[in-house]
Amino acid sequence: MSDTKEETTTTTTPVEEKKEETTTTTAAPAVVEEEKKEEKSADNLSEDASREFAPTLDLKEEVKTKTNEEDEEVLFVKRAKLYRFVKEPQDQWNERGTGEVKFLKHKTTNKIRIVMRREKIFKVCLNHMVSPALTLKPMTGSDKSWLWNAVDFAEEEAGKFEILCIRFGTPEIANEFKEKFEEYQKENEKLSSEN
Amino acid sequence: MAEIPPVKLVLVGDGGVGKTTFVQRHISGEFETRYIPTLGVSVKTIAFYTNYGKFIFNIWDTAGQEKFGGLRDGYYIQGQCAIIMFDVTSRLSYKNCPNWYSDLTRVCGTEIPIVLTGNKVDVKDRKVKPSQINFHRRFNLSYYDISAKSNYNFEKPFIWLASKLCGHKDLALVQEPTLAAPEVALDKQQMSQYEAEVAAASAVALPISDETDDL
Repeated sequence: MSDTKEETTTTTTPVEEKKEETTTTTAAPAVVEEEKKEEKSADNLSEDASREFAPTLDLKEEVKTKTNEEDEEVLFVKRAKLYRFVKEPQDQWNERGTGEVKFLKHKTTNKIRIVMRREKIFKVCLNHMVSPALTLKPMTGSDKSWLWNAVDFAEEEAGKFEILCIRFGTPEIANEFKEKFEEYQKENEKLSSEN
Repeated sequence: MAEIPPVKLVLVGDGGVGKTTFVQRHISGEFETRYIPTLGVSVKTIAFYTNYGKFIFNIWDTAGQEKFGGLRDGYYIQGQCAIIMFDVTSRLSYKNCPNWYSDLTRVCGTEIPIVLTGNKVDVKDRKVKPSQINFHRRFNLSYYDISAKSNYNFEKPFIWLASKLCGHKDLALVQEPTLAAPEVALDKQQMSQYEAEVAAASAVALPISDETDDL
């Protein structure tokens, strides 16, 4: 509970006491105005996560969240940075995320889609079928990037038209990505012509 | 699976420390370089999937600049958790944190989890050194160095708050479910309608600073 072992000065006393007595959130304690007593030494900067609060959300058990990738096989994974083209406030590329881009093949339908998640937060920033109608185009001034337009389902169920650009670490990886992309387009095309 | 009710998170700190940019970074991935002061408050939603379910934070991103303050601490009412942000390149913004803390706790009490964050740690010329950051200890707040630009630690404040809100120390983020990606009946002709736009886009360079980062 208390990690106030380091020199807590006397100015903090009112708050310390407050902490002990109650969990009410309506109390408005008179917090001592800070002055510039700050510049004490601080040996480490590790976060003080030790304090306990009365939980306000009653969540008893862990829950399993489906990724919706359970029935798919990963074909190709590379780290990349994704951008989207916007016209406001001017024509420019806005970052969408950095993370692993991958192609996923469904185990029963055999359809292949492209999915990318942002690092650390695992949110989806790219998600659409590798449709034969798409074309990867070179970017002016970058041999590590490809540009394409597609209806993307990263965040909206209805899909959103996007002009996208993906950048890789090296031109070699970028080229490999394009080869795979076009190969999987052919596979998807074959599947749709069979039906 | 029961849904977790949305949580009100109050985001405070001096003007220009990067509060809105931090929120926008989380929402769309973009990094806004322009400075557009927030007027009053801007409420945005950021959701995180965790091993305890989906947390929805309604972020009350408040004006840092006094002249645009609007209702000020009127925005803090029923805040369930908070982030106090300063800019590690501005000593004054750090010095003001105790004032933000006292304003917050006057309305919300001292029993809500609050995390202190020092933003812009990517900047070479850091003014507030790690050893000088000690204000949070006095009140048992958590502290993180962060960078909205490099994404350094940018998820940490939310993980800490979520774990304190539900009292589970082992809370962690998990993968967001992907939506179904239907086949879109866009034929080649339709796609080519966008060609002019795509051509325009290919002539616009990517942000310069990005060409040097590691992938």
